[in-house]
Amino acid sequence: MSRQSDRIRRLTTDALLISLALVLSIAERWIPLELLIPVPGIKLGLANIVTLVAVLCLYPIDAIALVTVRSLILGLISGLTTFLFSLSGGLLALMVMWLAGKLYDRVFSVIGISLVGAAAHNIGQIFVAGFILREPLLMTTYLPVLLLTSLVTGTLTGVAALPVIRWFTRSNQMKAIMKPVNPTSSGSRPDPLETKHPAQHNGSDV
Amino acid sequence: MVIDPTILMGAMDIGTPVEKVDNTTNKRQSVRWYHWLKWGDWLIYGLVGTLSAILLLSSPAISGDAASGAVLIRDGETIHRWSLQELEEGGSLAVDAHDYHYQIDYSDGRIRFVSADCPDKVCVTSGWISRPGQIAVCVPGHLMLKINSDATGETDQSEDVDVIIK
Repeated sequence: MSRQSDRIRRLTTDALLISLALVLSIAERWIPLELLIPVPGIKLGLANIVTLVAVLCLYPIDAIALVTVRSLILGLISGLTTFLFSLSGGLLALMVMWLAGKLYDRVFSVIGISLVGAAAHNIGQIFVAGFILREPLLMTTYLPVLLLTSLVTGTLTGVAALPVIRWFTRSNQMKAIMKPVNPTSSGSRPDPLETKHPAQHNGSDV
Repeated sequence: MVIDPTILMGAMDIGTPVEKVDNTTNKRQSVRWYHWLKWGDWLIYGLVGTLSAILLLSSPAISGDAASGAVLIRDGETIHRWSLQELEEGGSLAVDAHDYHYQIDYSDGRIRFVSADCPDKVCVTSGWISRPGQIAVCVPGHLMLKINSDATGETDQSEDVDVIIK
């Protein structure tokens, strides 16, 4: 991390991921998901893909900076409530995904970490909405519907993040700016697209 | 609108770019998205699903109470109240809240935000609400439209003494 080229690489990678998250946050507003799942205010959470990649591949400080700067810029574009929504949901999701990331590859796959992130994102946003509206009842009436939809959207964003994380784990150039391998895992970086296929399970091969 | 589960299942199958060749039988097999899941993931599906089912069943929207009217709440204060008769008769109301402007319509015992100039328009996409416990909210304008049942209506009135005296 000390070499200057690595520092520049880290800065540009973070900047690229922030702009990617911003574009995804804005683009997902154009997707009329309400037509498929009739829940007002439901979103795909595409920016969660970027947070997921940052949590599993980069240092925690990069992920925190990414979420905060994304929320700030999004707030400048579309107002204070959007900023509070984005920040509360984003930071809570980040925290929960970081904790779940400790068990990555042993207990959870990328999809599982995406699931807890999507659920935490919704819980954080409902907290802020309940606070702004001064209506604690919002927790019981609206949250379960959002949680159920987060199972679907969380799976989709998790699957979408799989090839990106595989690219990071295989990249030689990114090695220097990635967080160290989990000491509890087998030592090498796990390939997120590697599966124990049912057919191979029963076979005689290793 | 009813969700067709096959649409969702079809969407899930987008994530199948990997094909594996089985060494013993030389058969090509596509890897489905659920093959990537580990046991903790299934646990999350179960936990979140159960939790939301419990919350959903205990929410007042499911209870069979009859609606007794509707209230409009801004910043935690009731600023307008409709009786069931008023909702049946129909009409509309213009409301300003936090620099945003809203139009509320009601008829046939239902009520909705018909137009708003807030940024996200979640309140308008909520559509008609008519069952007790149902809500339509606008977070930028700090507004909430809520259907009351007889039970919740009583607690609201005891908090809001002005209405009884009037």
